[in-house]
Amino acid sequence: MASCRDGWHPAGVRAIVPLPIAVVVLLAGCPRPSTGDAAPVDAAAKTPPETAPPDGTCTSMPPGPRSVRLLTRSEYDRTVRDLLGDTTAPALRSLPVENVLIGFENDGDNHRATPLLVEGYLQLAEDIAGRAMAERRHLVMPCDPGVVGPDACAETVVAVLGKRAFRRPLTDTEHARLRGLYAAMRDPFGFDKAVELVVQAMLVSPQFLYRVDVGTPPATLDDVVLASPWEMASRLSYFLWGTMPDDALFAAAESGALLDVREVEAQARRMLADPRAQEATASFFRQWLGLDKLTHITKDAATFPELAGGAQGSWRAGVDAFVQSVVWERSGTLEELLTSNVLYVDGITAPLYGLEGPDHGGLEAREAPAGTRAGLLTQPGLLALLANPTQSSPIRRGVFIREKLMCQPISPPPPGVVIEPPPADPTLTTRERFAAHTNDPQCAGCHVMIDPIGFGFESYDALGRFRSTENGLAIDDSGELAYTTDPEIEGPFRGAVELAHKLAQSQQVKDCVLGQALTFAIGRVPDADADRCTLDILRRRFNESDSLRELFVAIAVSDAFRTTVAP
Amino acid sequence: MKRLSRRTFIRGLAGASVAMPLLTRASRAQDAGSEYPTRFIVFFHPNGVEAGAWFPVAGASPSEFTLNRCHAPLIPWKNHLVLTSGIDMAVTSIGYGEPHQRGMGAVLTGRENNSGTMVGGDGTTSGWNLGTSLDQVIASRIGTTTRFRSVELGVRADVASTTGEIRNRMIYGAPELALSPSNDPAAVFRRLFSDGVTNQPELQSLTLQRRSVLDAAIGSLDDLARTAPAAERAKLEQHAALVRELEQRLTSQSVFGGTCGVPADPPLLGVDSEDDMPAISRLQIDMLVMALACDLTRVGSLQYSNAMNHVRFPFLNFQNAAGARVQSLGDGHGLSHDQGGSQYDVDEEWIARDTWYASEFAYLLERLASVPEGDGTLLDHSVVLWVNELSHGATHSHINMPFVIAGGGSGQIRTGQFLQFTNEPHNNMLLALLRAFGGDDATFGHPDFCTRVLPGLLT
Repeated sequence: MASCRDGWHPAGVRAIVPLPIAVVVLLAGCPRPSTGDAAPVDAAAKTPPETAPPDGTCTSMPPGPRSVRLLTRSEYDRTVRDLLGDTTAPALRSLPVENVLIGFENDGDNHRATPLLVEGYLQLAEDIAGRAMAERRHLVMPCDPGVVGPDACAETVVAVLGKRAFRRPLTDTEHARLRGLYAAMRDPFGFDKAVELVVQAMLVSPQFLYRVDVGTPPATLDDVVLASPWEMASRLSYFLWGTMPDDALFAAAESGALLDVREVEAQARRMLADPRAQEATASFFRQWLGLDKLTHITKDAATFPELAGGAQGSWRAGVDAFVQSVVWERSGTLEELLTSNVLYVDGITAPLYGLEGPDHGGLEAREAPAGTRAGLLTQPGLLALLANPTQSSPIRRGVFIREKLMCQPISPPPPGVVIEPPPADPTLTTRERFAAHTNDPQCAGCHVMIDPIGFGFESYDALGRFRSTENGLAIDDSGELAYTTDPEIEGPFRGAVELAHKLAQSQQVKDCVLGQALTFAIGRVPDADADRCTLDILRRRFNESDSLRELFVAIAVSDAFRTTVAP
Repeated sequence: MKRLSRRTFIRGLAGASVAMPLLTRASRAQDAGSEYPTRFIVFFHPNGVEAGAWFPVAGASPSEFTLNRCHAPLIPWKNHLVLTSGIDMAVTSIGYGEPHQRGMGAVLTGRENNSGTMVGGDGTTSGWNLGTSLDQVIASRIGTTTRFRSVELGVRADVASTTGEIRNRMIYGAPELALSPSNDPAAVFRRLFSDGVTNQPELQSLTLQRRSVLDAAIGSLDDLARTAPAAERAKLEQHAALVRELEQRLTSQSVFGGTCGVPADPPLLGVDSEDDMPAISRLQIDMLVMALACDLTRVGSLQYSNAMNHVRFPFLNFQNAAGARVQSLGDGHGLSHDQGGSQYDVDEEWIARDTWYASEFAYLLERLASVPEGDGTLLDHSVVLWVNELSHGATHSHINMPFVIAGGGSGQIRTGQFLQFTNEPHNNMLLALLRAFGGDDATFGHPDFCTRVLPGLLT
């Protein structure tokens, strides 16, 4: 039996911590809750969110990043693909996973150089430069050394490839340094090797390995500066594509057009129509929702012999396909993401969920029977992830929704508490067994925030299959939304479908989603005060369209994204 | 004595480690007229142990004890071991995080975690640990001249985790700077031994080229550090320092010869494959031991799984309480909470897994002992520390930690004993181990939780 033992004082919503998801709670005016009282959450938490100030009332521009950030492994791999045609994804294979604190891999403060990374960068540079010279020489050298002469051709490599590798024109010092490397290596090792070493040097340079955001004096406004056009090109490309800028973006940087917000918007819209944008949004959803965990779901083999072959890959692919189809092929609205009754199934998952399987090896969209599915939260893979090996987990499902969609972190049990699901009992439903949490006054403080949401998902078993009975007993999927910051959604509901429709209309959920997207975009947690205007404007734009694609555009043109703290 | 330079090596036959032509082993330490260097190795497995099957049965004196079931594979190595009981990770009483987070952070640093936003298994949040891990402190003293300052290896250490976070990192190069293990034997081979199979003229050219490339990078890093915002400068300066260190280490003269040789190039294995786990374990041990034997490094670690520990052992069969032999299919973390196997005996499965770890630990000792060094072996010149982030999984306890020490430490460690304590802070053990490497440090980790040098461990 789950137990919450001695000395635990129930707490409500935890003290505000600098989680990205907490930003929206702050934004919505959620005060620090009281703890230790009978009421789990300060009544003030039910106060309606403050109304965003009208445009023009923001007197100071919220500054964006002024930082240097190491490329993530996936950014690195896509960058060398676009720079040198290297499609081997070498960094994902050989570099260690990123250290992350903010929930997203492009964490400027925590993804830092280590001995293993620095060695790895050198090794990758040797491999990539070697492959490029051997296999795609024309991408390295836009010149023929036999025609223009080797030294002149090397000059061109330094200037032309260097500009693309550093994502801006080289300074004189940088140019001279690389030219000097070529000159020193040419005689002992020959022209080809010397050029290859120049490529290596570019790939281990910080101007390649880091996204450098230091701004452009003198375009200052108060204490902030606009990102330089070159920096803006990279900000856009790494946010919307997860890779380096293309020629059109470079041209817009070269001309200075990217200093103009209208050009930024035009570029953002162009970029969102490019397949590379799908990679970047997939990356956002993967990191925000923790979708990589789907690959490692474990289920009890004795309880679920039908899973003998494993379904992890199909679950993961199904969730990915659902998200991508909503964002890119359907309306792209948060509402559709949270309420669509479409599932993507393959030959493994279709029979599990009572759907007709495709006659090929891949995935196909299927409409679930009316009233059984609603969007992301009822995707089979996600429901299977948010469950235990042998049984469903109202706890995991409730916590996931609170934290990922409502941006309300939950106070943890204290150290020393035995945290175990209740044991199987064929005479009870899961809900009845878990009810001890909410009935035990020691546990109720937090579980009152978790379980009434999680119980709404009891119509789905540990594999995410729809069910109306458990152990021969009728399923009770009634639930309640309480202790939110959105009075519109408070109150009882029945089942995950109704819950999902409520959440899709919730200002709290919309604020939460935009906070996550902004964190992903700027590589830091938005500051509730400094970024308040940005958050307000984003909220208005997102509310107007409900479109995730429009949200990405709105972020791209936002002040937080386009500016930098003045030096 | 003539200093040996890097030698030319021939890649070994598949599956075989190639012992190089016998040469008198000449370490830099010997050049300086001293003995073989003492090495430090950390071995980790997660989620606590079943105490009743782990701790030895004490005898009349510390040297008279009987190994328990989990340590059956270690019976031949009993005289090379120090078993302990009654050591607590007291420092986990302060700082942030849930018990897995606190334990992972503190086990080698003796320090608490900072506040932060990494979400633990029960929703608790934590930042990184505020200490430097013992192995890295030792490496900063004895690893300055070798090709690699230290070598961190993992056996499925990042499984079920897409990021480096507090629960899958135990090595800290500096406060809040966690170092990642390498989980892929092929990548480890490439890193440690590819130079060993390059012929001498080629290697000289390669070194010159690398130094030239790195020189350019250092120049660029210095440029950027000058113009970067002050808050970001430290990141770039640290990066530049690491590149400088790498450049300098490129020319370090590792000593191949004797039993030092380049191991066989490992096959491509599924780094995240549960079926490949035993093979990965053996390859990583082989390469770590060879890196130590070749003096490529003097400090290393082996991290099995991580504190999330969603690792199954389908390659393992065990005997359940009913006497039937069954395949181990339980999820590690679930088993540690006495759940996850509906048809099997969870306790027996957990004990079988701990026994498997002991067999890998025994293999490590065997490999170390197979390297002759002077009158003894590499094992005699090593200190091996086996740690865990918890003492007991179901209760998430840090009381009575299952710490095991092995190896003679060049005569510094009094092996063949079972040392029993009562509520002894584990910082005391870390301090004692640090002192096995010389120096007269008065404290280690958080000083409030370091009360003395662990008695009885050192000679």
